[in-house]
Amino acid sequence: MAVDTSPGVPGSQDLAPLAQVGTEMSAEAQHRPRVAVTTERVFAALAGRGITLASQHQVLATTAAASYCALGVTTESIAIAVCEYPTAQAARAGRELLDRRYRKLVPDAERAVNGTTLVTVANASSHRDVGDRVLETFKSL
Amino acid sequence: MKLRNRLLGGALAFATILTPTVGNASSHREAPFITKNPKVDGTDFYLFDSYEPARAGYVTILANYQPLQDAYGGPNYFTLDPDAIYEVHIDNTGDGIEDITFQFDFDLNLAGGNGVELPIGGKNINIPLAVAGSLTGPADAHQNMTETYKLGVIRGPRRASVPMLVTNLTDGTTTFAKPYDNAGTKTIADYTAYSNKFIASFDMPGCTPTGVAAGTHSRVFVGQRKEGFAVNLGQIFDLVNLGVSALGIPPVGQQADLTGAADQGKNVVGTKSVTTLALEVPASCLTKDAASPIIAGWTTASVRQARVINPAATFKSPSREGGPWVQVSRLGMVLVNEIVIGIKDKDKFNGSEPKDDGQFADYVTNPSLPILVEIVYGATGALAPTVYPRADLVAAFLNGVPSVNVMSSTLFEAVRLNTAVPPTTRANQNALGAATCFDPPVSNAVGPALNLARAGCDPAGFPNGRRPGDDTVDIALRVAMGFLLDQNHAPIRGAPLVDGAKVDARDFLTGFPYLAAPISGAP
Repeated sequence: MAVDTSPGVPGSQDLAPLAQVGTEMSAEAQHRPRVAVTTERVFAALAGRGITLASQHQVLATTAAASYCALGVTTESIAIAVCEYPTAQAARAGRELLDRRYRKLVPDAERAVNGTTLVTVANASSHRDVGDRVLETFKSL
Repeated sequence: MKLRNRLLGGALAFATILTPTVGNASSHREAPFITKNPKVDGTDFYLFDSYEPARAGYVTILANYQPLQDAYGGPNYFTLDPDAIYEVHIDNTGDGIEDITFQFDFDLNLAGGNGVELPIGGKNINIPLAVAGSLTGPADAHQNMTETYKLGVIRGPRRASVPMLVTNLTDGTTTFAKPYDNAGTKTIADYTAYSNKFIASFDMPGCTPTGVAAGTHSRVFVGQRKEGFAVNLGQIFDLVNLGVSALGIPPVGQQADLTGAADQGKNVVGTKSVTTLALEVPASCLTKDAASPIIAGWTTASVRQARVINPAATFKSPSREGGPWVQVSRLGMVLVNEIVIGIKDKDKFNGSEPKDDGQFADYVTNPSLPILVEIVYGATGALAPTVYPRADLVAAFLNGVPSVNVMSSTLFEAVRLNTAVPPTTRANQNALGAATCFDPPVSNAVGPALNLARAGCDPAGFPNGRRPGDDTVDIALRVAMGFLLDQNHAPIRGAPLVDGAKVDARDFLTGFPYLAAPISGAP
């Protein structure tokens, strides 16, 4: 696996008062699995396809039973959540968990697994082309 | 017994000076300082058109204090602070300044001045309990320690004039009795029947009511009630820990599902009690005039600025209190000081007045809760609203809902009630209140459109006032996540967010004081 030298996803700037979540997320950031399709690689690939992120920050991976997650938001307010798992089986299980438990929270979410990485695209119904491009780009990595 | 001596006893050894800038709090131990002063900790404030049959034209006000009371909390149980004043404020002009204040002033006495004594071994010994036998009503000879109060009405700024004391129509005095807390069935066999005897009638000084049935009067009750607020407190304050555990995803059912059923059996305060100050007053005595039916209300508690602890404490003089009144608790809209105001300003908020709420505006326009939700649930693709400042929250919390209960352009936090909106009967109330009456906004510039024809629309509920049966936690979660914004700026605005704690009007009484009798301390 090639060493990824792209800039890391910045941590959230809003964690100061959220000690417990901050601690947990800090641990998640320090114990990321070695995956082929990293969060940074996904976001970099999207940028290469002209998909500009207005913001990106780490989010709690436990929610998706993942090891590490980050959330990018495009200028069109499309959510792109990228989660890293230790195994491909865990990634598939994570997708199944999110589809089942959070269907009503984010009913328009679309998900794809590439190896040990899971991507969720949401709020893209008004920008179908962008959403499709995100998933295509991710699958091509 | 009044311990409000303005002169501080020089012989007393310890002094605690409370500066005006140090405030207390409201809402279930939400601010650091109030946790030291539970007797003046306001927990919830309700303001609604009475929906008890035959009480049309009246407005009910409920102010709850002393959170998380356990039924077994004797032997002193939960008396209110005789050295504090508890107030309910009504602004009927929309300037954030009270126009009418109801002031409760409590007193604590021992029977006969020295308490019940028993002859034991040739000596008369004072008994250790607050009661000496079963109780059946006010002025019961078995009550060793009695709690009474006076109710005053102040017009204009609260400290600008002396309260006009209200006459108790039961006995013609200005004293009202407070029932003993629900110690157990041996002390009080039928607590509902017992406590109902403490509901007293009065006529509001300076008001000739209109719009109410002839021969009816205002009512007041102060006493212990079963906690009416329902919240999944632990998981909410565990960083909105709904369906997510620090140890991993818990099995379904272990924690509340954020988008599950409204009732998941997760109400953690359902076995607790509070002390309720309840008033029912003609709407016409609260509004400015018939053409101005909207009022705003909030409750406060204040103590004297200085407290000197008596090193040789007696029942009547455990301390001496002096100096001007300092407000230490403030409560209007639900959850504002719990989950909106930053922790460094929570005590400040509790000492503040609505007219000065501009100092807290950033907490409303740039709230932290939605970002916390995004951090916790962002892996699912859930986004917090992306528009700042949050004008929708300003409307909901600081200015009223357009076409429903906006009083003026002045921004201040209080419960606003349009008294002209007819009350919804208990059987027909929707726990999501007036939040069900809005069509999704086409754009933020236009805002949500009031649509009284929507299925389930209940315009008499929160945030048009607040009734016991309004599920304010679920409503607040949804509004915080953008319910009043358009889809583009609030992607999960339509998600049916819940905390899993059920609130339902049918769980409360059919009439005044609406909140149910407290749980008995012993079977």
